Amino acid sequence: MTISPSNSWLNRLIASVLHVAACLMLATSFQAHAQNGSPMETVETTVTAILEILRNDSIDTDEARTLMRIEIGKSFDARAMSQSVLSTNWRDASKEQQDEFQALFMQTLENTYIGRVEAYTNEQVDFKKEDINNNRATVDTAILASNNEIPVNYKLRLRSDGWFVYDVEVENVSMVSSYRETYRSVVKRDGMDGLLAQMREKAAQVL
Amino acid sequence: MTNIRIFDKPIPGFLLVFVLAFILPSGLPVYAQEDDDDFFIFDEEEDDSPLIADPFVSINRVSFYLNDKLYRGVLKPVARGLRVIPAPLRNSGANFLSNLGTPVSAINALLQFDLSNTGTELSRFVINSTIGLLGFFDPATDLGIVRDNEDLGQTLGKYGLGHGFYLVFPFIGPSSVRDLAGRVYNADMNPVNDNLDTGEIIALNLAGAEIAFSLDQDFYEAFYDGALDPYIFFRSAYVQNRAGAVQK
Repeated sequence: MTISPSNSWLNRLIASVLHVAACLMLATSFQAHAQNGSPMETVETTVTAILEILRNDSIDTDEARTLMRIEIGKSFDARAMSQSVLSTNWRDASKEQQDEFQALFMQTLENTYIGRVEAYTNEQVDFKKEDINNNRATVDTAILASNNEIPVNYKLRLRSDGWFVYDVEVENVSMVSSYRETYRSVVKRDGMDGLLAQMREKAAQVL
Repeated sequence: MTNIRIFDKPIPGFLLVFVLAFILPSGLPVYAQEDDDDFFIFDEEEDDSPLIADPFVSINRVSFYLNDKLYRGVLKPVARGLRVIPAPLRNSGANFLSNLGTPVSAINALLQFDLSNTGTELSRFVINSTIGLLGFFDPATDLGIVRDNEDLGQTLGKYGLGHGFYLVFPFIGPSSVRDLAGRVYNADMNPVNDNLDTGEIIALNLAGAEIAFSLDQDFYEAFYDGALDPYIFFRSAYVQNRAGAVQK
């Protein structure tokens, strides 16, 4: 096939221009999306929404939990949390194991935390500051309880569709780190299937 | 020849632009990978060792088990009983006991060369002991002078002393070699303790613990019951909490 040099250059130029334009459009659309909410706004929106649900006396506990689950789903990155908590074991797990782990881990967090959150209906939350470092951010907040301040810090990551929470630290204790050590020791002893079996059992117990 | 040739093939111009498009806009925000498969690689913790050495794990587990029974069987029921006392009154009790410990916290802040916190803790002690009616109320917090407790364990940590290893004692609960040493001398530093005998000091500590348990929203039970191995879960939480207290 023979193409004249000038013609092929023209083609390439057009392709290049189109490509750059496409890249820019993509980048700006990502940016516009991300600017929908800063890390602080993301956390504030979620926490405010949850407090509103809790303070609403006209909805029962089950309905409140469903609504809270929806709010948390909007701003928490379940996948990233699951990966982070399993650490190196995530990579060795099969796709099915990963999916099941994610579902069970979210169930565990829900069973552990939602009942506790319900006890904090009347407390004020102080949104202190945000720190952005590239595609990671931390948002520092504090629950102003009656006789002390409980520091609650959120860790977020930037995805193309905005900022998402992947860890929560209460009194310096990271949710993800605390579970990580336990799960690691279980996987070491009983393997990934053993971990999943024990988590399944636990989830059934609590419910 | 119009094209630079490598392996006898022209480098397509669009490929070059394609590459440049990803290198040039480094001023744009960097996004985490969409398919997420490498997310944890960027995470800080990757190492396989536990957060703290635990050579006495078997004995510790026994103490941990006993403490759980003690807490659920005795301490928590008593604390639940205390809930008949209105929360504001229990808060006042907690304030009073916390105020007694404030001078020691101030000394530790000073030992850490943290003059600003030394000032904070001293002001809190003066304000709460006077306007706060012997510490039963906490007007200092309302004035924006917020408690930042420092103990000797934290001071030793600031000086670079590590945890040593993990220890769980019956009744006392989780500790480390460093924090145990801190605890013993921290109590020694408190002038209030000079005027009390051992029984009274234990009673005071117990009262403080019971008030705290009564104000707690069953976090302990929730975490314990939710964890696959509560011992490891609480060990990790203890170390993180103390490390954070030393760092800040």
